[in-house]
Amino acid sequence: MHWEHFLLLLKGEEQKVCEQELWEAREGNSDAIQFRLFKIPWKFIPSRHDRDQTSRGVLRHPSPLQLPYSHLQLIFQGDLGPFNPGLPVEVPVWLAISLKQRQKCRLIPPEWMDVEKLEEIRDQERKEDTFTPMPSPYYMELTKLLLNYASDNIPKADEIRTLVKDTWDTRMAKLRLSADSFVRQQEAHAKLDNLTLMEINTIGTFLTQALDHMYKLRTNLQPSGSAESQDF
Amino acid sequence: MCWSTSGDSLCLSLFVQGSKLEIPMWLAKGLHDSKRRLISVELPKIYKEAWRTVFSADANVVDLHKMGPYYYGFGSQLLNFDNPENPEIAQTILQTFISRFRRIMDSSQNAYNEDTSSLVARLDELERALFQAGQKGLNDFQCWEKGQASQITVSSLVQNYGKRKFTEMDG
Repeated sequence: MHWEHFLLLLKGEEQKVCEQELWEAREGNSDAIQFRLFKIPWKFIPSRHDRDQTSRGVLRHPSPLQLPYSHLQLIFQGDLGPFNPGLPVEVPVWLAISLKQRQKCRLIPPEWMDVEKLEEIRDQERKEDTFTPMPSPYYMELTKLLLNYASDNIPKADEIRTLVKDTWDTRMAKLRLSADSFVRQQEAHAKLDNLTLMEINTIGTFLTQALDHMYKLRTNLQPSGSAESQDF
Repeated sequence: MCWSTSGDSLCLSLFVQGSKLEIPMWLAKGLHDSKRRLISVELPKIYKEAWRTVFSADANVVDLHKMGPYYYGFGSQLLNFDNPENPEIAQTILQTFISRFRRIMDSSQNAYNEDTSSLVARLDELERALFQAGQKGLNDFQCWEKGQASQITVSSLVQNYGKRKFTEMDG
């Protein structure tokens, strides 16, 4: 069993803790091992091997270990890199923010995060009655994260913030208009394309509750056979 | 012979047939029986013809809180009593809700960190609950935008735990 493969990824205190956990785990049955593996804290640690150009993203269990529930063995893993100074590399957002907070990198904004492009989107949003497809289904989240943590890497950050906010306001207004006409016409269902989750969640609770109430009021219109159907 | 209420207690007493009495809704509902005709129910004025036309003209101007803060709920219960005007009442209640919906949505989704008492003053209880839901959506969004959503805060339950004194613990 290649436990050492694990331990190279950790340092200091964590290494001691994990050694202990793994040692004890070896004595138990496979369920105990499984459980203990989940208890080991996750860390992102660059590989200690010089020959390794890539950084190992997360903990993995050593392969010779045969465990049941194989779909649970890999919690998550990935290889990222190679990280060479001066050359851009694509990484997940959480890693980019984390490294930026430690002042180890410079972020390059996505290509839609640009004043002209966003002005185009905003104008189109204002012109159309339907929702324009947004460059990213997470445009609000990305804007917020990047402008909060990496505004120095983004040209005209304030303008971008204003443009995104304007687009958001227009979309929310359209959403409310849609909701109102949906309720007025007492439709059974509606379909709205190109909405993002953030917009849906902001209005979702309100809208679903209102529609529930409306449904109950509508069932009042049916002549009732028994008193129960009128219960509110 | 009929039930009557005096203060908080119910007592049996002799009643002249045809007299009018105010009784709670649950009692009226229990006594109601379309076959035996023990009681007949008179509609509160807000559900009658005159007010119904006011609602259909413009439902937004009505102070629903003053008019009985449970307009929708009570109105729905009223439909139990086999009144010939029931379809119109049901329709009016529904249409009132629909016309007032827009205003509730707009005001609840736009009033951030403000005193909302003037906005909810004329809403009935059901609409106030909806207003709260809209405010919650708005507040959660603002909280996320300010970055407070990912901050770990002490749970209010934990904050209320008193610290146990050493002497209280078992030795």
